[in-house]
Amino acid sequence: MKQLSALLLGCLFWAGAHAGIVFTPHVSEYGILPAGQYTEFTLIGSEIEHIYDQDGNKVKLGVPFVPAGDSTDVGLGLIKYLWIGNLFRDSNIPILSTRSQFCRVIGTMGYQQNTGLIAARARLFAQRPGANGLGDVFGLCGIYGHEHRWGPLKFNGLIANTVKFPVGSYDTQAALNIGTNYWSTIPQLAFHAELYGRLYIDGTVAYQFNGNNNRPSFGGLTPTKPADVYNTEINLAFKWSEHWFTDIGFSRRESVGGNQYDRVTINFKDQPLGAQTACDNTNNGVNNLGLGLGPVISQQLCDSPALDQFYLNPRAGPYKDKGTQGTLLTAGISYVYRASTVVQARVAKPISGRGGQIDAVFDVCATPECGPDNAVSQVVSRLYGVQEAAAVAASPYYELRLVYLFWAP
Amino acid sequence: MDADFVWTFPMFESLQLPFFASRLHTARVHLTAAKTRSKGALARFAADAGDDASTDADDLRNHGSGTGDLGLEFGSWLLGSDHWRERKDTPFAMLALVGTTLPFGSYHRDAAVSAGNNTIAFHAQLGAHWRPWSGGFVDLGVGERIFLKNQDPAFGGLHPANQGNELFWDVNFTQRVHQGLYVGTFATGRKGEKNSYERPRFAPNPPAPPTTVPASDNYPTPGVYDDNGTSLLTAGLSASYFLTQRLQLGLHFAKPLSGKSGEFDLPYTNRQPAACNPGATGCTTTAGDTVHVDGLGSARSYASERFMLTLNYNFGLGDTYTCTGCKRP
Repeated sequence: MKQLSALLLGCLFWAGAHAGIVFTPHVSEYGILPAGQYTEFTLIGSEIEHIYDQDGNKVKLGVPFVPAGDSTDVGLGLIKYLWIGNLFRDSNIPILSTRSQFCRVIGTMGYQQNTGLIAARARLFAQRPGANGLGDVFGLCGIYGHEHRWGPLKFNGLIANTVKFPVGSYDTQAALNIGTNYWSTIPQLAFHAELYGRLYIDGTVAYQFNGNNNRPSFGGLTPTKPADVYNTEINLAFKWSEHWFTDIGFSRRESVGGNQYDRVTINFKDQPLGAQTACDNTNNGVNNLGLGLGPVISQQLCDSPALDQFYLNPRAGPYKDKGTQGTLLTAGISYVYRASTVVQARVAKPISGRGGQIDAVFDVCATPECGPDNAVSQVVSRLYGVQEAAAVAASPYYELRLVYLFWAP
Repeated sequence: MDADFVWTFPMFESLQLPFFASRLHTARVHLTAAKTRSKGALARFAADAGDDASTDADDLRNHGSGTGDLGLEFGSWLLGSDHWRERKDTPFAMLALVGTTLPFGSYHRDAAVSAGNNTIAFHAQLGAHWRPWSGGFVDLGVGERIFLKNQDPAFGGLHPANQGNELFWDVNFTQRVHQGLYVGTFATGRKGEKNSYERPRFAPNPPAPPTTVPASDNYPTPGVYDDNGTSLLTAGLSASYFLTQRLQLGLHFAKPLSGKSGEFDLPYTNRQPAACNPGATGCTTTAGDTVHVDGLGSARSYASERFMLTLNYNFGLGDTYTCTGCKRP
């Protein structure tokens, strides 16, 4: 019989890094636009077959617990409403009276679904393998700087602050969620520049303060204390004609320190586990996930006819991962129709990353009510953190974007 | 509750692109929200906490309310829009539409009915509009819809994993009877190919485990099962009135005339001892009884009459921008 060793749970699930996707800049994202109201629709899709582990390795989703080939399918819809104007134009308030302000509301909706054997594996832990519905709402306001000209160069800056309201659909028993269940506040500095009226450059630096998540999902594998994140992004676009633009971009997100998990409860739904069942759910022959951890339960113990059933129970924590990082390259093409419509297609390809993982301790018992007091041994299982704060996808995503002025300025 | 947003616009006029530049196009967004609740035997089964814990049948719920899936469509008028800038009278028009349904709607994996379907769908549709006389309107439409796999069929896999392609059509006749008052009659039809169900994990009507073998239980035999497809034919009446020049209020009544829901036979496997791992030493399995099971979700055709209240508003923005590069008459 195979050894009942560090085992068991090894779930690989991902969920979209919403805040990162929402803020990836586009052509003239930070340029001073005419006062008015703008509406934007964005569709994002991805079939995630790879994620990054804590060492920056690109790993196939589900392996080694299920054969490679299944994925996490993701669809995300964004609707953005942008107002630009100057509320203080007729006042004498310094700075504000001479600079335009803007406010934006972003609503999200999405679909995230683990497929095939990955979905089936989630059910072993009484977890739902997907999620659909409305996501969190983002609200931001800011102020443009003055536009400056220096020969062929025209540029401006802006300062803004975004608040993410955690009102999205959130299920504590799901491997994937559309909402995040924690607040975020994201101050941001950005600039826009145009060179010879042909080269458009938009860039930003932002710092994302994250609140706590007191109701982690997927058995506590979403962080209860998500680390703060800083973002740096830049986008270069070339204007080929009045109608056509192409652009390339670079985006990097990195957490400040690690995420903390202190409510780990992930466990097999049906217990006790028969010896054969338990061993069938080990790491498919990869001893201790290759971590070099010795088997805590000996072969003799696992084979003992007196111990033909096992109970498992995780220790809640706290645990801390090594932090996350995701770096993307983007490339897109835009078509501008008159002054009222922009249609854009874009692909984003991850080039490096690091996902959150923790080494969780499980008590192994021969009797129910499993815990440290009656454990025959403990095993350590390296688990992936899941969802926005902890998982980093290594597969590309695709974006289709429509900007439309319902109301002419 | 449904909300449809419809835009009509020209495209690529200044580029003089063949086909696109000379006609009007349309884009449509379809939003829904639904409140659902099962009653009767299915609800009692969902509420029964005594189900076998080794299945998912003890995590069930009988409602799946929320926002529905997002529908997107794009279409071009094949006939009838060539002279839209001259506002020339067009008594006959034909429209070709393609669209997709994105599963952004609330989908409860433990509920018999949900607002969303967790399935991406694509469709193509051809429509015709004819005004045979003043105040009389005839609309015809026919289309085909295909579905991608539902990777997580709800209610233990009793929703189809692979929904069969669907042929749908509608016909509508409307007549103005007095100034802003219109009355009409309509019929709709839908015919779906067979649906398939992958590894159902339980059934609301499981066979009793064998009594002759002590300490045994049973479970649905893993496999892929097909139903015989679905269909629905409805007919109805409608009346609408323009409350203002831009606002139209309508009342519609639809009555199902015939239909068919998906059903299939689900065989069970007996095992002894209970809850043992099939294939493991000491766990024996034998063929069990077969039960007839109703498909749920998209496999169901509802036979209930329904009333619909509609409100149409024409924002009437028109073409607010100058036509750069095109020639006005």
